[in-house]
Amino acid sequence: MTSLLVAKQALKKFYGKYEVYLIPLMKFLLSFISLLAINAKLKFMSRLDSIVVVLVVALMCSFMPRNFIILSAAAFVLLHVYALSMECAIIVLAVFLLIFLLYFRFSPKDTVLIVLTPLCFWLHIPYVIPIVAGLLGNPSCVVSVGCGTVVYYLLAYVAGSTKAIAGLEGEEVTVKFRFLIDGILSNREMVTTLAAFSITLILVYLIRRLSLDYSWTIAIVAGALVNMMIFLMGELMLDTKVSIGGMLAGTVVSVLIAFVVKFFAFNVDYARIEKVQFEDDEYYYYVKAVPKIIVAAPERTIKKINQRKKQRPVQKNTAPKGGSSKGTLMKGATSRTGGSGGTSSKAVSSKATASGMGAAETARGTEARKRAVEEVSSRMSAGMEQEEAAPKSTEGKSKERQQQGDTGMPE
Amino acid sequence: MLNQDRIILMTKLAAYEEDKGKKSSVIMGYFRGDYVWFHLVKSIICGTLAFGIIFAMYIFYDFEVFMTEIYKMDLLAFGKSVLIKYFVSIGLYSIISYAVYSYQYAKAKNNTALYRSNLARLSGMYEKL
Repeated sequence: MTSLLVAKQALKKFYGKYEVYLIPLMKFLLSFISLLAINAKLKFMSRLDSIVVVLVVALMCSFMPRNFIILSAAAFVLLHVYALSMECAIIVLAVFLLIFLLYFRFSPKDTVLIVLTPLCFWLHIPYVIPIVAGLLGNPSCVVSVGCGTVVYYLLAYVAGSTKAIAGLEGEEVTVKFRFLIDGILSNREMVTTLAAFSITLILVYLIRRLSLDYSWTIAIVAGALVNMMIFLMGELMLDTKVSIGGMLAGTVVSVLIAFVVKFFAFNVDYARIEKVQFEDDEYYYYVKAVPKIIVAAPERTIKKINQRKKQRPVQKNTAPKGGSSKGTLMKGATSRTGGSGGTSSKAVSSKATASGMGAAETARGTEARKRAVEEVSSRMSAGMEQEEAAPKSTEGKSKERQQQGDTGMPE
Repeated sequence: MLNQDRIILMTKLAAYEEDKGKKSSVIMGYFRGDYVWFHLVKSIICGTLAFGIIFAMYIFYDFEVFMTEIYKMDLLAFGKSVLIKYFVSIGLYSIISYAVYSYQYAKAKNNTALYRSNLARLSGMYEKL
């Protein structure tokens, strides 16, 4: 459990840190999955059934406002249905217009539910929607979930009666129209689902708002049970032909998902409840404080055992002047041996000046310095000892050079 | 020196400005009556369009029967019944709209009052320095 709590904290931290990138990514994923599902279920327009088109639209959705996902999904559905039959497209358009005109003016934030509900139906876990919407939302979500359910059954009916619609090709427009409207309105399963989802959502909302211990857990379990009961009653009374095994499996998965949501949204420790009572001039207060379960993520400290020594600035100075492309090791080596060749001697002279030579020596001028350096390098090349051969002015330079060579070697 | 209370308060204020603050500031730009009536008019227009769509679908559903009976039926009575249905549905929708937009206005007003009191608190914190 502790590791789960640590993981939750880490996830929260990660989300907080990369929220700017994660929100467009989630919008992209939602729109991508929705459009793929629409293409998989309604395969009437072959031009839309292309991964490139889906990717382009999903990418557009990722940086547009959230409601753009609904618009693009609606456009996809309309185009597919139009490819099947114009009458179908008119009915679907009318349903969409009614939803947008009458409801989404009030609560545009709930629009995501109208996409998620058909998506969960296609994933065979529609029971998760009323439970989670009841936990995280408010009773007005009933309308959004209802709209999503109507859209799902509308599309399922259109997709399921393709052959029948194609068979009515020679008939009048009104016959097709009547066939579609009758099919949609007489769908008993849709009516049962609407009733079950509405009652479940409101029940979950009411229970989780109670001042009960474990109210969220009770709300999830009670919601799942009531949902199943209503479906069973619908099966008995309206003969809806709901698969009981599928419903049980879907409910179990939905309850598990609801518990995951609860873990992230409302994780409290009922064992440490504090009840306090106090008063002021106007009221008595009976306060019940339930602490949240929070585990601080362990901080990892990296201890360096073999700490790398700092390179002296002198070595940095020699590197570009040396012009060698062999790397630090070679530069250090040339510096220690006193240097052979013009580049090394330049480095030596600069070091000598920097290490605080006498004022008289520095005043000698460039000519004298060059001569001294040339003398040293010629003696070095002849194998003579540096200390013996160097004049007084270069003696200091060579000693320093040796020091630098010793210390300048990398590890 | 960084003041933790001040930073927390400023963060809350900034979060409010980013999220609900924008909507609340738009709403508070109206008087209550103006805001509610403006949205009520929009609701009536949308409701009328929705009623038109539903009515058109109703007519189109049984178009042949409607066309054969149009000469026999009392058009005045038919028009009257349609108008009654229109006014009842629009009336219901307007009542719901009125309640929703009144609630939204009251909520925005409360949020703005809270925001202003927090701003005054922040200003007081700076004056103490």
